Amino acid sequence: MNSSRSPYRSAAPWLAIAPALLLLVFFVWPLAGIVARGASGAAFATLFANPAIAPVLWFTVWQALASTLLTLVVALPVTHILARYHFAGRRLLLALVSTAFVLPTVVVGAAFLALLPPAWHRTVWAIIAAHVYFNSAVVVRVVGSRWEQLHPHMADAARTLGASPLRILRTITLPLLRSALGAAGAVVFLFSFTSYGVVRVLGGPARSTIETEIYLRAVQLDDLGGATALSVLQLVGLGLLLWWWLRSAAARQSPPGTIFTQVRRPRSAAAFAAVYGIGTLAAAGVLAPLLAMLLRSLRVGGTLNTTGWRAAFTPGLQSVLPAPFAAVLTSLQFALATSVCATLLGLAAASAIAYGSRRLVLFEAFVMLPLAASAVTLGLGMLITFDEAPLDLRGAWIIMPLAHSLIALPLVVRMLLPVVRAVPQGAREAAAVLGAAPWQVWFSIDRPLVARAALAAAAFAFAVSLGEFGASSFLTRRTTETLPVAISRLLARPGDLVQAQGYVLATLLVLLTVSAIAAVDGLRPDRLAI
Amino acid sequence: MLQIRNITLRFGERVVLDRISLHVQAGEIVAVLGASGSGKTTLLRVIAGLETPSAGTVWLAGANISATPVHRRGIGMVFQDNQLFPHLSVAENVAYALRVQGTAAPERQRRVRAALELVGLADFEARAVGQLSGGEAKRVAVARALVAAPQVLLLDEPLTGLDNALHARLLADLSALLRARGTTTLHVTHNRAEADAIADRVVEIANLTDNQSAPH
Repeated sequence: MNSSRSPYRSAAPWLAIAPALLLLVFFVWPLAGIVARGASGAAFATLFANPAIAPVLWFTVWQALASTLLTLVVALPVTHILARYHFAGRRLLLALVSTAFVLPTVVVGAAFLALLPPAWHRTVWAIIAAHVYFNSAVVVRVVGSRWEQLHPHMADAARTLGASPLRILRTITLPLLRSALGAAGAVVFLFSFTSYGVVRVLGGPARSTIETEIYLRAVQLDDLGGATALSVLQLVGLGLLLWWWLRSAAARQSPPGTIFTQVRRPRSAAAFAAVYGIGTLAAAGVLAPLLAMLLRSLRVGGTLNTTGWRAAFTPGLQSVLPAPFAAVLTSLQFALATSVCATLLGLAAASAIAYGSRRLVLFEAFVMLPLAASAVTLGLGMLITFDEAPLDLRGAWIIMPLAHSLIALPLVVRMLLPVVRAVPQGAREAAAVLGAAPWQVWFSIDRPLVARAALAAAAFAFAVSLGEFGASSFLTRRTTETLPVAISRLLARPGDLVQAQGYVLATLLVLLTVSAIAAVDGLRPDRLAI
Repeated sequence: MLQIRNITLRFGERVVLDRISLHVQAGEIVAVLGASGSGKTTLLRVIAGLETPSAGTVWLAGANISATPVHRRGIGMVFQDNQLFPHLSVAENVAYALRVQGTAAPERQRRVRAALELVGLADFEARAVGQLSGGEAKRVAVARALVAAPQVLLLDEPLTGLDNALHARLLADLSALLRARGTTTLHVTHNRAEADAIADRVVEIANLTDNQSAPH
């Protein structure tokens, strides 16, 4: 695969140049700007002297812990039935749970705003409920794949030894799932810790996490010193979390002696009732917030009507706002540009890593760097770096797709790398022996095998761009508002009609995102028989 | 001691067990012979309470236990693939049933040690079960099932998959052990020689259908 006879080896360093340049200029430089401004004793002293900061830090941590615990508790029964049983609607339920995870965070916030009674708005419970909603898929996927491997006869053995169902859960099942629960819990904690869209929409001014506080200080309070110091703190916190997680993941080992097994149909009446009861509840739980959102888009003046939809599509009807539907077109343009940029650069990076010498392993780590910073930090960094010479990009259209591409790049590379590596070296050699030049080999052998995965990666980058809110909220201009930015602004304003238009845009964003993700799923490389 | 009366089990349209009846005396070792897919394992799972039969009853020491939950039946079972708990050591695996019963620690340790000695694994207490050979794992599974002194022991093809030498040695050991303890045992296998060697009585599962109770 990575043999020294690869016809592309000499091309590898050249392929690495464009993605490396993008990262250096638009990621490393802005982050260095934040560190230069924020990582000083004076900046931290000022930050911690502010009595508003300690509650923000405490709230960020405890809401993330509570979200993690509650997600595990809520998701485990669903995980159990999906991992253990074959039943009518199983694939649909899995698709629904997975859909909740890929929805943009602003949409999840909007959906819970629509679903929950007004007394719950601006409360921590609304935030935690939304976190449980989209993070449950992490538990279902991570813990479920381990649970499927536990042989059901193991629990049977414990039963014949006298253990009650609860005792089996406590002494056999949960201990065997411990490493998977730890891994899923760490991911859920990370997502809740860095949650931004949900907190912006559901938290209101009184509920601030580190991420929303960075936005508040940078954009609304004009306190760039505080914002950059908080960003440095967030970077360090995230770095420590990731380091701890990778270390403990390396230490965690699956217990030996496990067997892959098949799911079985529920046989007893109790199992049947549990499976269909839990399945129905879970499906309703996923759909209810989305339906509430759709209903709210149709409710203006206390009755169901299409006023909100017509207003959203009619430019100039609301004089206080630019036509909301313009945000759809803006988002689509950015998403298209992002998907082209991220896919081309991601393919170049994945090819450089796959074809190049071992020294490019450092480049592989470098490409993954954007994962270690939050989108909010990236947005802030770009905001303070590109507002003056030598690179003044204020108001430049390209800055948004560039930010989105940086966020999508590591994920695109992760999707493409295994496919690029899987292209059989023997086929390339055969083509070369038959007289094909390296570019002809790539075009006739690699391209057809990689094309499908590249299309899937493009659709994925498209979806990432559509839902991106953290960086966008710093880089947005009123004339080029993206969907999530417009939704969050509309929902923060009072009035039936304005809010209905926010829900209209959120509904459209759901449809666009789900279509893009369905395309990713349909184009998955494992559906292709190589 | 153990009586199975007219057990029928259907999975959907498929009849897996058809009016099976069998009587095992106290202290008797009965081997049930049958080809794979003949329902031998399912029969053991019905007796243990792991499957609910469509019709018929299971009796133990004169009591109908058909509705008794698995964990209260007092029936031990050795699974074909052992099903040792991979996160527990050998001693913890064997101690599992005693822990569930709330046996005090000193007594528990004594009985675990005795059970392991009985199966010839005296020094294996602290071992991880992932490090055991096939024969050792089988012995641990037998010790784990026997330690709580079940009224009946069910053996599901316990010697399948072992090489010939190990098979012969374990067969001899198991036979001696069960006889010495007088454990009422139902042993299912597809191996005629194994059945003859271990059992007081060998029955074919195909001959267990109670024709007298067939609907007319």
